[in-house]
Amino acid sequence: MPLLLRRAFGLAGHSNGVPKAVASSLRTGPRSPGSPPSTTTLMTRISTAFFTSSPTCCLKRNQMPPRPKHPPEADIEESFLKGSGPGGQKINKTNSAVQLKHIPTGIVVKCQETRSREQNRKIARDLLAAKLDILANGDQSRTVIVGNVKKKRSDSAAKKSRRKYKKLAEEKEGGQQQPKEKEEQNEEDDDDRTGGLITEGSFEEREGKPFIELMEEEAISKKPSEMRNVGKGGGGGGGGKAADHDDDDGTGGFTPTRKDSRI
Amino acid sequence: MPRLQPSLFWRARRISPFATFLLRACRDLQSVKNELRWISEHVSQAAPAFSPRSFPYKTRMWQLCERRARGEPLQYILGTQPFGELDIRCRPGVLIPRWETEAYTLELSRILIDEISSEKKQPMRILDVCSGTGCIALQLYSQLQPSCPSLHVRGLDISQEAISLARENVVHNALVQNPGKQTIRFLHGNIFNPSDAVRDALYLSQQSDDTAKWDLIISNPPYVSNRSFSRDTTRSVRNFEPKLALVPNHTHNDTSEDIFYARLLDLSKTLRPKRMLFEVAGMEQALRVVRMIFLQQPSLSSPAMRTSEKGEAGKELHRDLYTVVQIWRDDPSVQQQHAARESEKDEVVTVEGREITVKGDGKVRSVYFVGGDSFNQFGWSSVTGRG
Repeated sequence: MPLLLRRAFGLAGHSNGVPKAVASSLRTGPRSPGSPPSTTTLMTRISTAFFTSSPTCCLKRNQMPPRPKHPPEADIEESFLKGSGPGGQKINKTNSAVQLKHIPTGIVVKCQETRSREQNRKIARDLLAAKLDILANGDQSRTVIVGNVKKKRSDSAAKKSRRKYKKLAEEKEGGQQQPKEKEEQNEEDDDDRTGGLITEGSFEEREGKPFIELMEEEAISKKPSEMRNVGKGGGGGGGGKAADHDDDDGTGGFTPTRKDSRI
Repeated sequence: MPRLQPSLFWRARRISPFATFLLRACRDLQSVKNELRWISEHVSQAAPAFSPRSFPYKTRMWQLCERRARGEPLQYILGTQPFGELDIRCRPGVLIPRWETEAYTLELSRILIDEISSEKKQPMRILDVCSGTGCIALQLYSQLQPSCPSLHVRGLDISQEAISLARENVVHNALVQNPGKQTIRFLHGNIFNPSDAVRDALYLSQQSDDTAKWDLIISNPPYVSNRSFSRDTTRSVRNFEPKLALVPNHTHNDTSEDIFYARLLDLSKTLRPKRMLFEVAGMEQALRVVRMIFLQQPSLSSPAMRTSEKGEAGKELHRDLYTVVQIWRDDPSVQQQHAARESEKDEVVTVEGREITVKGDGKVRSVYFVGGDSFNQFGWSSVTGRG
């Protein structure tokens, strides 16, 4: 099957214009090396993906358990946090802290996230529901599963970044040519959100080639998404609301200046 | 105000350079952390393009934290105060809504919604005297609007600034009005010397008859005495909030702090509200208000009162006298958290030989009483314990 078509259906690691949900449902099982999936199975899967009303075919790849529901009001005791002083018109301090106690288990949750008591109540109930979920389900609870997925993603991003800088350091020692070559290339590819789990080409294709050639191939076809990730890690660490920087700069775009640390 | 320990400053400095400023106003680290978070969220929301490391962002943070350090209330700096489900805009010159006010307003709206759903819907008329930002009127309107097809809420204040701000809050919270069916309006006038227009709006000029004109008269009037203003108020209240809203007749030093309650109880003879709720400073003032209520209605101190039946849970419901008087604490919806709980009885306090229920937990905050008409009109035959 031509590469363009494979790309269109998200089977080559790039998905242009096809929703991820559909693309994921089109992925077949582990492929035997070198043989593209047959067209007929693909067409069947396309039709089921687009034209079926049941939601199961459009599941996200990482299906999270649903958010835990709030425990019943009868089990919750909202305890009143006393303010100091006479109160009323004489004091204008915000007192929006909410403390919930779950009577059957004895879990106590305190929340003073927002200035509004009503919102804090909701947030506190969400927190309590999450804690009860962990207590009830242990490793199967939503919090733990979401935490694992996020950890996996951040670990793989860190690993990629380490690999890249290591290579950069090696190449810098080797010669001045390769770093300059890399910066000239501006491939406009979509973000690769697979976390490095799906790579181009199969293992057997790569096996026979010399190691150095593989490294060169990787360097040449380096996805800017990885460069983007690293750039964000370096520049956006100071604050969550960094202004958007030009993605073409890669790592060299944003360098925190010394004067920013002046207090 | 107790002196701040130097170690607090070091710990605040480790959190952030801005935190040392906030510590002067907040006095404890937990509040500092909260207020720092809220102020930085406010700055980020106002100018999302600037990174927290950028010069304009930091300058803005310095400005706001310096203002807060001088004692300016956070609500004036950020411009809003959440109140129930609403967001009330605040400005210097108008009193900031307190969380205790929010608590009893929510409890009252629950009681009113229960009443509306259990009995046939009647037009509900609510008057908020000394409305200020309009928070009480707005909260009641927004809570009752879904279940009450005929609802009229009026707010009255002597300050034109407060009235403009209240009208702004109606728009800011997107409260929908239905002319003739569901209305909320704010009137500029003096409750002690009402103009003709105000008298008409309050139904004061109509001849008093037996029908109740107002379902609820609620008030958070100035109740701080001059002495208490100098001694008990915090610096940010004393220096930044209007004295007009705190001390009754603040230009004269010899006015009693109960004068508003006296005036409202006088007016209640003509206005004949079904129920009234007043915010008070504490237990002493609550007891004085209760005594004023008893003086108003001499039948309450008659011997017949002492032989009345008791309702459930220690509340007294007088089938002969038709009045419920309760004192509410800061959080009226919870049971009191001390020894009284073991006996499963509500706390009571005795005034002039009569037992008054004290509801909730915290400091005494309001006095709530139901006039006699409600029993007549709704024909209660069973003791429900609800006012």
